[in-house]
Parts: sequence; structure tokens; C-alpha cells
Amino acid sequence: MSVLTISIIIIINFILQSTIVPYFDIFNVVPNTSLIVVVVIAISNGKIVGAISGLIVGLLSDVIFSVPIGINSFIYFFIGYLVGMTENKLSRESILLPISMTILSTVGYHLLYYLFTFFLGYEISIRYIMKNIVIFETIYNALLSVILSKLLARFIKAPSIRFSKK
Amino acid sequence: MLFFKKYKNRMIVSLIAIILIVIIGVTNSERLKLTAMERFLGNAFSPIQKFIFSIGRNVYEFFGSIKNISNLMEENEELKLKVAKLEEENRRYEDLIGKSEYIINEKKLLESTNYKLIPAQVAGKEPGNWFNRFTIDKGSNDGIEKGDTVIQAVEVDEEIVLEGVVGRVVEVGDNWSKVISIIDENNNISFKVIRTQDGGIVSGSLDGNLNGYLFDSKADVMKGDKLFSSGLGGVYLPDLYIGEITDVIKEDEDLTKKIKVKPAVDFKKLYKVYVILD
Repeated sequence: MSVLTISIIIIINFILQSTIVPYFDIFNVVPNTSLIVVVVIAISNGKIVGAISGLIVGLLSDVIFSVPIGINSFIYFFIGYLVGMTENKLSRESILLPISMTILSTVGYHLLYYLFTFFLGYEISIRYIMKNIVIFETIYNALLSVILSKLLARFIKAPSIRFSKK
Repeated sequence: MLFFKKYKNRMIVSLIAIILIVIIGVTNSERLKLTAMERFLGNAFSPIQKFIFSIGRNVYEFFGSIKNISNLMEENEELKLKVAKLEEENRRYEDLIGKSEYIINEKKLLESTNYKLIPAQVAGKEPGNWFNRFTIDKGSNDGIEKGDTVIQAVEVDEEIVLEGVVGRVVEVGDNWSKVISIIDENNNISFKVIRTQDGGIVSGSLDGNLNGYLFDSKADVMKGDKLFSSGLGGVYLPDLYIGEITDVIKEDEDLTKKIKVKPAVDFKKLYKVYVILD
């Protein structure tokens, strides 16, 4: 994916997620498409691109919406970096990879978010979040990641076979 | 240098992580002004979001109306009955108009004491399930300041319309502002029970309701009591409608009485709001 495609994907995702996606809530839970986009980009582009796009996705939503700026950026940055580390280690073709990565990173996202809000002094019960948000959001995200990764796969060029060293 | 080369990536990652944590720490406290970058991003995205948000709303309502087609027949019958009832009522009201002088006076009084309101439209909702924040399409260009209260007209009983609290403005851009709603986890609002004048504090919770407690544990409150903001602390203006008590929880070991409150504003269907200028 070129820099241009990635930035267009990020911007379109951000606009849609903050306007249209809230209407598609199931059990009062909305899917986190930003997270899926970061995961998909990281899987196909590696840890450096993954980390940078995670940082940008997080900063966008932090600057526009949240008051302590940086929580989402921090989490997406690490999700992009860690997911990107799987590049060349696992089969990129399998649909199981984005699904399992989405599930892992959704759970990780909420745990990290809880950690931050805990240290920032918000009183939020982890049990409530686990029961009412994390379970549904994980399922929702996993389903969406199938659709999104198929959709975004069109923008990923198949690597041409090279026999010489890069 | 070898050490640096070997761990280059990790060092950059930890450096960025540390910078981000510092930013979180700095921006968590209340700030006076937005930085230039935030201003620019907000100014650029707010109009687009506003446009697409209204498209989304229309699509949502369209599908909603399709879902309701099966109910239309029933509704038709109900409406016919209602028309008959209303016609009768109408006759009574015509009677009332004759003695309307004092009602008009009351209205004038209301208008003169009313706050200065600015209509605004919701531009975008925060992604994610943790908090209830949104942006509106009016900012410092329209005279909005940090800390202004955001309200919506709420019909309490038939014919009675009150200002229902939606939230407060936390940060202001040129043509957009961030609003924290009262059902946000990190938001407290002091209230008084209109029937008994007992005071207390409610705060938001993740399930979209408000939880709170009364200062006086012997206060005589019950289900269905209406809560208004008391203006204590100066965060919210006094006498704005918050909602109705849905549950009173009395625990012996606690010195306070806990309550659950259903907010008057429907936060799922938030679209047009008003900002009170101080």
C-alpha cells in the first residue's frame, strides 16, 4: 500500500466511524473500525508502517474527541507495532490472521484503556466493561475484520516474485 | 553506536511511548486553549463530519420507518381515536383563550428571564464504547466559550417544555467544540429534588444512566421524583432539568442514600442542541 492509499483509508475510516458507524450499534456496542484498519494495515505492511499509521489514527480521534490526548494514540501505536511484527512469520493469505489479531488487539485495547483511565483517576468498574462491552465488541470486530480485510485487500498489491536480493 | 544500531527500533518505540504518556499527563488537566494543530484538524474535519452525520441520520430514520410499516395499521386506528379526543380538547382550549391574559404574561416573563441560546448541530460522536462525547458545529466564532452548558428542549408532561441538560463544552475550536455529556463516566452534576429540595450529586455510568447519592440520608425521595441542576460548584447553570429517579437504593452501612436516574434527554437520538451563553 502506498502512503497515499493508507492516508485516504485512515481519513475515510475516521469520518465514517464518527458519523455513520454509531448508528449500527448492537446491544449498545459499536464496532471499532479504527482498530481493524490498523490491524489490517499492520499485517500487510509490517511493524514500522503499522506503528506510524496506528499513531496517526489514534491522534486523529484523540485530538477531535477526547480530553486527555494520547491514550488512543498510545494504544493504536503499540497495536500497529506488535501486529506488524507478524509480517513474514505467519501466512498473510489466511483469513484467520486478521480475525485472531483483531480479537487479541480488541481485548488488549480495553485492558490498556482501563489501565490508563485507572491511573487518570476515573472510577470505572472493569467487571462491567468486560461483561457489557468487551465480549460484544470482540465478536463484532472479529466479524467486521473479515469484511474489512477482504475490502482492503484490493488495495494491497500482490508482491511480485523476485529472485535477486532487494 | 553498535548498541544503538541493534536496538534502534525498540528505542524509537519506547521514546514515542514516553512522549505520548507525557502528552496524556499534560492534556488530562483542564486547558485554556487548543494548540494550533488541534484547531486546524478540528476546523477541517468538523464540516465534513456534520454533513455525513446528517446523511447517516437520514438513512437510519429511513430504515426505522420501514421497520415500522407493520405497526402503521394499528397506529392509524390509534390516531383516529386521538383526533376525536383532540377535537374535544380543542373546544375547551378555545374557551381558555378568553382568559389567556395571565398566561401570556407568564410566557413573557419566561422569555425575558430565559438564557441566550445558540442552536447547534451534532457533528460527530466519539468512536468507541467508553465515553459519551461529541462535537458540535459551533465554536468560538459564534461566541461559545469553554464551560458553557449544552441543553435540549425536553417535554416533561404534555405542553410543558423544559431545558434538559445535555452536557457542557470542554474545549472550543473556531467552528467546532467538544462536548462532554452528563452520562459520561467522568462527569458529575449537582442536583436538587424539585419536590423536597434535597440535594446531591449524580455522575454518569457506562450503561447510559446516571448514578448518584443524596447529601442527606434521611431525605424523603422516591421513584419518579424529578431532578433539577442546583448550580452548586458553578459548573452547570441552576434549574435545568436532569431526569427522573428510577430507583432508590438504601444501604444500612452507607451514610448516604443512592439513587439511579434516567436522563431526560435521549442521548441515542441527539441531533439538534442548544448552547447557553453565559
